Amino acid sequence: MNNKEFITRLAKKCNISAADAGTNVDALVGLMTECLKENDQINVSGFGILEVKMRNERLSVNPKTGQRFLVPPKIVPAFKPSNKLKDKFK
Amino acid sequence: MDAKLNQSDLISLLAKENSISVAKAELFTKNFFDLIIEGLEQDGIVKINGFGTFKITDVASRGSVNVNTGEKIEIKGHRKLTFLPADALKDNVNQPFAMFEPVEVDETYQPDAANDVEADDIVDVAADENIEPVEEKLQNVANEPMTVEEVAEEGVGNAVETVETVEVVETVDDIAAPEEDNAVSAEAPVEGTAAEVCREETDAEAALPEEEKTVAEPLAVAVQERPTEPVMVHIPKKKSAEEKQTTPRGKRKGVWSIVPLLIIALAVVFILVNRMEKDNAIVADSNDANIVNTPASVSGSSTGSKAPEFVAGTAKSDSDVTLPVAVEEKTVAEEKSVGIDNIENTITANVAADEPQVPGEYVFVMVDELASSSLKSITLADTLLYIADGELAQHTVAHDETLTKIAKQYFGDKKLWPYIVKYNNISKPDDLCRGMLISIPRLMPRR
Repeated sequence: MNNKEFITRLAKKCNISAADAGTNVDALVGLMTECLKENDQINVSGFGILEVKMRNERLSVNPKTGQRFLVPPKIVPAFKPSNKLKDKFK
Repeated sequence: MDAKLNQSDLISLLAKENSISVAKAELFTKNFFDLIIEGLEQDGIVKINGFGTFKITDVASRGSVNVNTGEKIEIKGHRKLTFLPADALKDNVNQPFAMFEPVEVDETYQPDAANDVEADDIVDVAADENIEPVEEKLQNVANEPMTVEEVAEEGVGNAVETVETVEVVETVDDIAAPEEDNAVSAEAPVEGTAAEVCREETDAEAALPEEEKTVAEPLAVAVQERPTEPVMVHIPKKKSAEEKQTTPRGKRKGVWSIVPLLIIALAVVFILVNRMEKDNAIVADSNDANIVNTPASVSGSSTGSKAPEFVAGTAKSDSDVTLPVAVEEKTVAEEKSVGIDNIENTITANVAADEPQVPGEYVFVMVDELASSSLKSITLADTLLYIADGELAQHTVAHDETLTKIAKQYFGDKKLWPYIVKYNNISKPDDLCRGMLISIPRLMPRR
């Protein structure tokens, strides 16, 4: 299911226009991004937890050339599905 | 800021953001997450622009171990829900560390290894300094018999008459002197003396190899103990230049290869001189010949019961000639070794005292001292083969001209220069000045 399909189905579900659904999706995504940016944890019951995690710097080796790189630390978004969801797809 | 938002917070924020009613926002948000689950059930993948992709992936079965009991268990293959954040989300989240980029690690820089390499280099350099001079010296020592033989050959070639043995004994000092003279070197002896030199060499030939050994060993030791201070450093440049000028043919390979060789040659000759002088002294006093034959350095050990001081004392009483030379040798050498570095142990000092080659100035001093005695030999030579008969020409000494060159020019034989000295009564043949007016004698064969 791609983005366009997702929006049309969401619009049908909510009885709103696809354009409105689109803006709402963008707004919600922007909202969640802002929250994650500020290290907030978004806990959606029945779905899972969206949060950010810190990855430390590390050395990685290019197996072809043997070059070694120092990869800088970074912050990554992570999703942790709820147990209910996990069990559903297991 | 590290807050925990739940769905209701999200709904209120969305309502505020989009200016819609909370009910609509709540409906929308619930439908949003429900639809993701639906989509996953339907396609196994849901893609939301600017946010990311929810995806169901297969996990292969794998073996594992129960931590508590230690027994092997198998985790069966299953599916799991994964979230791949979109680039926009990743970048937004990672803004605090956005300025970092992966850096390639410089493999070549290893602090310990770098130090080791430097140390190795230093050691190598030091080793080279150690080895080179020693090898050079060894080579020179190996070449030494050649030079001696050359001198001997020359003597044989020029020798015409045999000279009385008594005369040999008397003139030993004088013969050795021209050899010492740096301007003369191998070409010095005129025919008569050449014969004597030949005789002397043959007399000394048996002893020479031993001497060379003794010379070579202390030299090697000295060089090893002072690797940063090659022997060549002590040689006065002026002298080396003069030697270069008058070096016999075929030896102009390079100043630095010739100079040590010449020093060794001079030193060997000097040892001979020393020995012969002692010979003279003790023959004059009619003492034991055994003590006489040992050079100053060896005398202590060879005489056994006699202490070195005692030998020196006897030498003092025996002859005036021997004493100054021997004493000067030791004092100069000792001053040299002490002055250069005090750290040197007594062995080095002894070696230096026994080894006349190390101090360059010492050889120089000796040459000056014996310069006068060289005249005697010239006088002697004059009486043998040629007689000065009138004046052949007047010659004004030009720049860079030597007596040997002049002799070569007028007589065709550079070995005949002592006749010029004798004829003009030049007191110091070495100090020939430019512009000096000298008379060239006409030489007639004696018979």
